[in-house]
Amino acid sequence: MAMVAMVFGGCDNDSLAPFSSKAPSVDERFLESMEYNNRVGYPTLKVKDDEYRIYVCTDTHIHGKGTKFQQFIQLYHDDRDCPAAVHLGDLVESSESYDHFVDLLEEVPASPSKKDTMFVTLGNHDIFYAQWQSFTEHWPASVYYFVVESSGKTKAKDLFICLDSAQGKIGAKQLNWLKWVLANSQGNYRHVIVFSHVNIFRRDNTSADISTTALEETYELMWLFTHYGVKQFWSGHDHSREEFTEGNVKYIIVDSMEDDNQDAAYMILHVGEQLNNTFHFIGREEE
Amino acid sequence: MKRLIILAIVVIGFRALPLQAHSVYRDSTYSVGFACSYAYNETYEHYGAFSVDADLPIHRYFEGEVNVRLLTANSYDLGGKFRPKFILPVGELYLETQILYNLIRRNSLHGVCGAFSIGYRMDYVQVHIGYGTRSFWPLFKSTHTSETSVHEPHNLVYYVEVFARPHTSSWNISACVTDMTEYQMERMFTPMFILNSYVNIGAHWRITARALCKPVGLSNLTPSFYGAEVRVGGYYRF
Repeated sequence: MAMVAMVFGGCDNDSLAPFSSKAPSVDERFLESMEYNNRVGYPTLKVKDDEYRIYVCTDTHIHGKGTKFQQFIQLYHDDRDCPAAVHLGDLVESSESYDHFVDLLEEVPASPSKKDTMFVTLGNHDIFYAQWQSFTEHWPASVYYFVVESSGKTKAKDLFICLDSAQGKIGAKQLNWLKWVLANSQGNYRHVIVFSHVNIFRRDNTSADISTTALEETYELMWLFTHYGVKQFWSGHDHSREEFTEGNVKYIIVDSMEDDNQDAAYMILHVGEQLNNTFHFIGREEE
Repeated sequence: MKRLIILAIVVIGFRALPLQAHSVYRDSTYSVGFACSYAYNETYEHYGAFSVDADLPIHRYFEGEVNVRLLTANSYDLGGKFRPKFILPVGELYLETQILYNLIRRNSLHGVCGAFSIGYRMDYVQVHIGYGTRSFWPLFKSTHTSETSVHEPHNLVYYVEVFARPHTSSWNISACVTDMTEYQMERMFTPMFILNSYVNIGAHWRITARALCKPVGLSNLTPSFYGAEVRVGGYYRF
């Protein structure tokens, strides 16, 4: 019975959790997200300079303290040139609630001179235990994009697209939406960056892991990103960093930021005419 | 000198095994098959496929297969298998080498997969396990960057098929789980579940039917349906 549940999902038997995900399907989550996005609109962050920084973390798997995560929050709060941070998914572990995650965010004081924003991505661990409703109470959409608009010399605009791949696929509806967003982005943005939770491939098997995405979806996404001039694709899930450029797209898997990961790290994207990524360990003495 | 000794041991070992002219677990005649499929997946949505397959009992110690598949989704697959085999007191041991070339024209990509497995088959079951590797790269040099291909070096290849009836039956049904079919080597965390069946008509014809389901997210513990295929076809055995 466990095998049947694993194959087809959606089983309502509590005893099979986490093998039974009570989350709506990716198509249903997409439609909920679009309903919210169409009603409220997509966020635009204003920055003064053409150059700014985005802080990126992933796989915090919060189930208690979240010490390293709070250090990360403090870092991006203190950076005057950072309008937002991005979390690439697996916010919590097991049946941990998002209220606790948000409490951790709010415990670290925000700098008064700027509005701090954290954009989150839905990971597979975030929907194990019927947490989708709890997730949407804090973040109503798992599929969205945001724009960073500069009032500097070039009045540059950069597009950041979030995909929901919590169940190992983005689904037909979300794929069609992505094609539409990318087609309409042509000529309107300085940089286009896509991020999601599940990595679409992994070349280095030092962590004995490879992608869990279907091959057809991997190929299709790679082609879409190259065809529409996406500059970078960020993901987490694998817990071990990898950077690779193919088809003029840079694919980055970011290290996890669990408290018990000795090599916990985060990424800073330096945005200007060019994009530059730097990686920083967290929780080590030199930090 | 060492290599000569090893080669001698292999040859003597071969000769010592009680090999039959042909395996009882595969047809002993050359056969060619054609099949049509209707399929759906979350990326291509609805599409069809046409495949041509050939079974080649080349030699009493070796057998081979050649497989070609054309998808209306503008993707094409060419594969080959080479399989030396050893009859045991119960069942048959085999070594399988499989090479695949996948041309994903719709995405301007192509790639090669290779897999080497060791397997065992008997009346009601066939299993093999092995190692696979994959490389894929853009079709056109203009999109190449300094790194020339995406190489996924390590993949576990597995195949388990359970039959309702012995292999010599005039009809059969089987259930299979594998990450590598004749046309595609998926990642090891994305198995495909397959129901196969065939019925022999007369001395030469075999009608086949297959249903395949591919879920994703199994290893993420968030499984969901990704794709399915229904295929019917026929083989002519010479």
